[in-house]
Amino acid sequence: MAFTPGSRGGARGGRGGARGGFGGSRGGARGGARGGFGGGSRGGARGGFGGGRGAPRGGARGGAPRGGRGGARGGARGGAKVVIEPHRHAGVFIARGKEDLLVTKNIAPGDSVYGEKRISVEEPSKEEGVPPTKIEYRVWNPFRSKLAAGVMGGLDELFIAPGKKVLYLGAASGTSVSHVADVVGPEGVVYAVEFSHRPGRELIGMAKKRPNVIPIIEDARHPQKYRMLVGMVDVVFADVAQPDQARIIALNSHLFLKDQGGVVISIKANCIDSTVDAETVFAREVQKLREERIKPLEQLTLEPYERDHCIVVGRYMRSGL
Amino acid sequence: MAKLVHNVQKKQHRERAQPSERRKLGLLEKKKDYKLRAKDRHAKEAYLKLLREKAKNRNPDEYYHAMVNRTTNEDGIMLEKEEEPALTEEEIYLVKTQNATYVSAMRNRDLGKIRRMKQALSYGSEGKHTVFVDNETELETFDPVKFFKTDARLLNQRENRLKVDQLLDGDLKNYDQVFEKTKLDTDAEKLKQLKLLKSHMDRAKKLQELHNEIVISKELTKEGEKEKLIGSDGKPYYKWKTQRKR
Repeated sequence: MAFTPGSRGGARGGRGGARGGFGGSRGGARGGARGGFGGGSRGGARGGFGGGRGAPRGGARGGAPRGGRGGARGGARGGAKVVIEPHRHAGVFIARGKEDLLVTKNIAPGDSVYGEKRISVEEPSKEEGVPPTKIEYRVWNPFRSKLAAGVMGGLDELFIAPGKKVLYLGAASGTSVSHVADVVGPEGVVYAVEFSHRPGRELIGMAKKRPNVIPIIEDARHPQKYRMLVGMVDVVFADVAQPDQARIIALNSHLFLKDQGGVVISIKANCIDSTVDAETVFAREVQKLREERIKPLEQLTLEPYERDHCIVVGRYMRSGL
Repeated sequence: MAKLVHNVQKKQHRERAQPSERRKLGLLEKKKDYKLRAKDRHAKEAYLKLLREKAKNRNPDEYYHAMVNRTTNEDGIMLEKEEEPALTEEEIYLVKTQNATYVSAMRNRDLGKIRRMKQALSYGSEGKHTVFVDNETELETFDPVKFFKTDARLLNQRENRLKVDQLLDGDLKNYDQVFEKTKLDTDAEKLKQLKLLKSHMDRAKKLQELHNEIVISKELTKEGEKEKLIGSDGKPYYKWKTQRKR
């Protein structure tokens, strides 16, 4: 694209060039990204839409699965090229294709929760003569999920694994919760607590398609309000970003968490105390957890995904440290 | 119709080349080259002659408009008289506004692309990993390989440090091969993507500068006392006199 800073004429020239390129990449990338999931009528329709939009502007035909420059959006589509590899943490996988992606096995295939990419992979069946089954994975973006950022950062113990029961405080609209639900699988349960109604609605919508997610629209400061819904859990995950979050987590842990259960907390330094530096805030929070019989195991800052955030993993010692 | 002359009979014509001792003078000049050079020179001579003639015959009392319309600077270089602007001030202001809007829209597009590409490339984690141990002796004997229960080769691969039993469960050798191969493939691709990302970032920065330039030039057309200053980086900036608005 022609682009010259300075003279007006130059800037205008840049305009023409940019426009043409824009139209092309838009139509192409759209059609490509959507069309990749083929089969489903929705995917197909979307692909056509992208094409129709791109075409008059001089873009590539969106109907074709590969159009324009795929770049960021059309990058990781399912197909023969993507190799799914096991991850340290059970239930999480790495998809190695054009780019390496963290993925979870979609418990509700054919459905994106927040517009994330999905990758379909054919799994050859072990028995003879049985056609291969298609398994769908959803891309877990560490820039959007702090838990995913923690996984990318190499946390040793996550406690969240297939078959586990998770109490998820601060579920928001359920984007990360959906991945946790994927990880725990049909055997596990995720109790997703969110106080705000607006994201809570989306959370409920997401939970409708996932039988292992139990949405709870309540204040996590008052766990007795939802004690009838939640059983004993293996892990408490908290992303509440409140100044008194250590107390909130302790209240819930004392009520629902089993002895030696896991506590995974995401701490946003700014939300606790913006007057001191992040390291101090983290240290103080860890100390608060110790006082609440949560033994800290590891701490990981989430650069470059989040600034001044950290994840602390601890073990709940009911009988004291 | 081609002439029926035997090829062998024709003597090949070979041009003389510049002798090696005169190689420094360039290619050997041929008649046709000389003719071109001479023609050019004669044309220039004729033109000079014409100009001299004109200068000699000039009437010093004659009035020329250029005497008033054009001036020379101290070096004797002729200066063009500035023409009236084709656009009115309001029109210029409007055009500048449109330009600024367009540039900022382009910049926003680039920023979106940068954000998406950064996500897609998913930079490896650089976070600080702290492990809490119970006592001093454990601190001294801490071994990350033992702690993560992994292979030493996988220690730097933060996003997936497979445990030893996981590696033994599958085939370690086989796994390594898969890992190495895909790693190389993606590295080349990743480099390409990173270069593209960099170009987008550069462009966004340039567009930001351009946008600032346009906005400032717009502001300069408004009323208000201002002063042009030169910053430490040699770039001009403006300072407006603070004025209390009612």
